Amino acid sequence: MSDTKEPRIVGFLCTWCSYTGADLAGTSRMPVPSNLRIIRVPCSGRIDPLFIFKAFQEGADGVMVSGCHPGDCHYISGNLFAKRKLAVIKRLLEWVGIEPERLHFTWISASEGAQYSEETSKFADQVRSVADLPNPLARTEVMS
Amino acid sequence: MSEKNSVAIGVYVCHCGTNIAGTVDVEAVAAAIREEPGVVLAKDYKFMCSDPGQEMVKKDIEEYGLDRIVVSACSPLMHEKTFRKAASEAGLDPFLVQMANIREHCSWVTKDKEEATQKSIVAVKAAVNRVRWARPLPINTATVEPSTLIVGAGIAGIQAALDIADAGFKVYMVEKQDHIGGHITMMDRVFPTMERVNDLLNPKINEILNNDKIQVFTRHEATEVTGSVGDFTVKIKDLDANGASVENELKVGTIILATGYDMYDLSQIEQFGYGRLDDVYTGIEFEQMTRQDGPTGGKILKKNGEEPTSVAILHCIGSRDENHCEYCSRVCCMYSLKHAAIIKERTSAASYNFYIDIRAFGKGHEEFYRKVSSEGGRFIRGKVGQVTDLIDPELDEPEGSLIVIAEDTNLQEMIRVPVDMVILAGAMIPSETADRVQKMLRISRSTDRFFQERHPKLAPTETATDGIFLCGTAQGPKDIPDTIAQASGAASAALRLLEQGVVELDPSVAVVNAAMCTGCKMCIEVCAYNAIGFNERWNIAEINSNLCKGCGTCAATCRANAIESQHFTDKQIVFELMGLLSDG
Repeated sequence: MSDTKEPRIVGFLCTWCSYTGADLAGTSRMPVPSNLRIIRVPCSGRIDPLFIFKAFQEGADGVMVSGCHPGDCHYISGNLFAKRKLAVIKRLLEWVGIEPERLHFTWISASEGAQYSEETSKFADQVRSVADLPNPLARTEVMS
Repeated sequence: MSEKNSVAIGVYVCHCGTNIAGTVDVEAVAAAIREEPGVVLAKDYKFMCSDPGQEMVKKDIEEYGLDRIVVSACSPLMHEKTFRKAASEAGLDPFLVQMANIREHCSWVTKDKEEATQKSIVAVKAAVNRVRWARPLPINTATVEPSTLIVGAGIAGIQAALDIADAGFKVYMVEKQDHIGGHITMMDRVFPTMERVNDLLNPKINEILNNDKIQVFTRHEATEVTGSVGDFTVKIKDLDANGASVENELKVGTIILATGYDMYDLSQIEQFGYGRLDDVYTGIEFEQMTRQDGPTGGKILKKNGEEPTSVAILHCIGSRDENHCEYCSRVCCMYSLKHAAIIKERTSAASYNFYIDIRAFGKGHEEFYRKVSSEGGRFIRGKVGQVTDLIDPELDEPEGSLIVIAEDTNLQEMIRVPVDMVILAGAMIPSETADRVQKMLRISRSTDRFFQERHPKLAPTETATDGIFLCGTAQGPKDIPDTIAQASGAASAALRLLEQGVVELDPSVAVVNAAMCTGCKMCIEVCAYNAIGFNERWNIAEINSNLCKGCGTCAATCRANAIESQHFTDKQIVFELMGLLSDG
């Protein structure tokens, strides 16, 4: 894959569990794909479906969303609403021609730095496998 | 988009010594960002969080009229507070500061310097994009209820209660047992000083019971906690009320968790015979036996009433064991030595300590280890595989003895040691109440299932939730001095809030744009805090900002786009996103 461009992945992480878990992966010096770029949100419940569409529109090759484990959500139930919304978005994306492999939803707690490192690497590989396929949402002209 | 160009952004790229600069070309990052619209200056500096670093930001705000700040450094969870404070000291609203995490999320997890530099550049561009749309947010304050709830009245809870009450604040202690003191009331002596527990504990218990600032609820548990820092409402339930649901309500400003530990259920580790073979005891059962008010009046006796002639003490039962608890329980080495010392003092029995490593790291511990081993205690390096009552007649093993089968790793051979009694130094696990308390308070636990501190090094007594603190073995296995130290630490962290009397409320909550609300009530459905009411007259939703916690679920759900999640607005997030993908 040396001649193709590395896919770009956007990760939306809730601040209380997954962002903290990502920090822990950092303090523990565990590898995380360098093509993963993070947006911190208070809760995975904050993620508007439009953010995901916008990410693909801006040319993201994959989007990852991670919240607290069920029952551990700092805001009680925001993660469950996120999961429901994302299940719908995934089908909608497939319908417009975006492979389901490009969207990943997961739970990572504040203590799961190792899982964060593992999940992100796995997802990066998964995105790489479909990254050469066209992204019909991506804007064709390059922003100046 | 005229607004976009009216900002004056200062960007600072931190080296963090070599933590960032070792992997990220910080000068290149600053150079790449310098020409971005709205950026007035972009500097790199050795340590942004140092006093000179903060002073530089303050000076630049004044000199260049900066109205937005981006600090690309460590995680915002680490230093956002620091830079917000510095900005506000220079007259800039703290919410106009944005951090880009190029350390935990970049330099520490990326090997390739070019990749790390590229990733940092887009992260800083995203932060610049985001901060453009940041708005000042007025911070309201609320008064702090001058009282603390302490969950658990073991030695940790007792120490924290005394510290807070001595400073003049009201303390409520909730304890599920019918007495206070916790696990150490089951013990006779403490290591390494061999003082009597009663001599240490009784004065403290008396202090608690005679302090009119402290109200103790034994046989009670907290069932529900609502509100936030400074203003928690706690429901407590009488456990002996027989379903009569007698509930009390307490108002407190802070909460300290001192829920302690339980012992791992050793009957789950069948090969040591616990629960199946006579005279196999857990450490805590042996402790109880050694107390004068214990079942044998402090005498060490076998089940048949005879004194043992030999006792095996098995270390690391359940601890340091990937099938059970991976962690070290920290106190077992020392209490096992204490058990050997008590056996020596009260019987003529031989003692054998089977250990993996002796971890004698505390003050006076190594000296204690030497004393016990020099006084005849025997130490066999090797983890025991099995305890059995099946004696091998060919080996002349005494009838009725327990055979400890182990590998002596120093001799590199299997050995069989017949003894009369076995003490298992079992693992410490979080108290069984931890599950309930976690769900009640929405706080995290680490992979070992103990409560998770806000930072493993820098904030060991805090949880991620403001106003809720941790101490003692609720946070992880530890001995009495460490527990007392952490309890005093948690008490002083709670006192900081109680003494101040006011707390700043996080203004990053949701607000409804009344003109756009269509009254569909979807937001009310998804709000977990009942923070959204409905104005029937105008057919619009209304958010009570005192109840709103700022999760933003309503904003993401509103189909009319009428709810804004302050400081995490759609604009801020979408522009951040576009910055992250600006290299496309």
